[in-house]
Amino acid sequence: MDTDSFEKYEQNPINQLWDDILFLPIVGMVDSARAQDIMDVMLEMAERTGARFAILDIRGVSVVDSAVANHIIKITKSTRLLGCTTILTGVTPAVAQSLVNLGIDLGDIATSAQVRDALKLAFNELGYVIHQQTSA
Amino acid sequence: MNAATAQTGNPDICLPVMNEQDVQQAVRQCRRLCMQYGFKQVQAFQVATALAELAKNMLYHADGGEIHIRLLHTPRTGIEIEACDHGPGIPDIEQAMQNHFSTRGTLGIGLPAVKRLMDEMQIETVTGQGTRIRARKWR
Repeated sequence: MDTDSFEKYEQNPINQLWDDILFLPIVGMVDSARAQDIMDVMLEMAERTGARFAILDIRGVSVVDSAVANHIIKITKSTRLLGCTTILTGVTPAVAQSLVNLGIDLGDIATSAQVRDALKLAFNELGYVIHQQTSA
Repeated sequence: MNAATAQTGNPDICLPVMNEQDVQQAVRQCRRLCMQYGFKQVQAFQVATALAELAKNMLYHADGGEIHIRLLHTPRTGIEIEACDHGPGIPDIEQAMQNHFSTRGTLGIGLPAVKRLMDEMQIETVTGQGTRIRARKWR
């Protein structure tokens, strides 16, 4: 990993949450350079791990304006080309209202408020069943 | 804060917007002020989003400009965002207010979105001289 690449991953700490599931929380400001970095790390990890789902959490993003929304749409489209479906989480009531006011159509991007729901969705699609062990 | 603050006691913050970092800085200030003056989180987010749209518009179309953030007491409490630039002006406001109209290959939803995000909006533009957009949100 070169220095540039190291910084990219430091600022956008993408994790492999499960065999086929990536997780990336975005915190702070997203300008066009940051959006490019996020796209890079998502694509690199999707290719390296062959993950089929990526959970992108935007709870910590300071503002979701039309430019940021456009970046998010491009990121999800590009990862989908590698066979990796993005699930957008951390859509707060404030973000939801702003997106509606902006008139942005997120199309068929799966979204949820909680990371937990996205994880459930991915497990379900991948055929994992979670159940609590009953104590004997 | 500038001289107007001393006269009225109301904050009037003027922020130059010359690059994306300036936009982020202005967004942060705006959210902080909204929360400080008792706007709900959803409202604060809408005002900050409108500010980001206006500021980025200035970057794309006029190579930058200035953002003013003012608190209003009329006696209703509100916040005003003013975006001033010395760019080419908006040739056709009606067209610019249409959804998905863009001269730059962007989404083309900025200006109509600002109108929906805020309660009032006013555009003054002179071709070749610049544009001043004021948008207000009441608490």
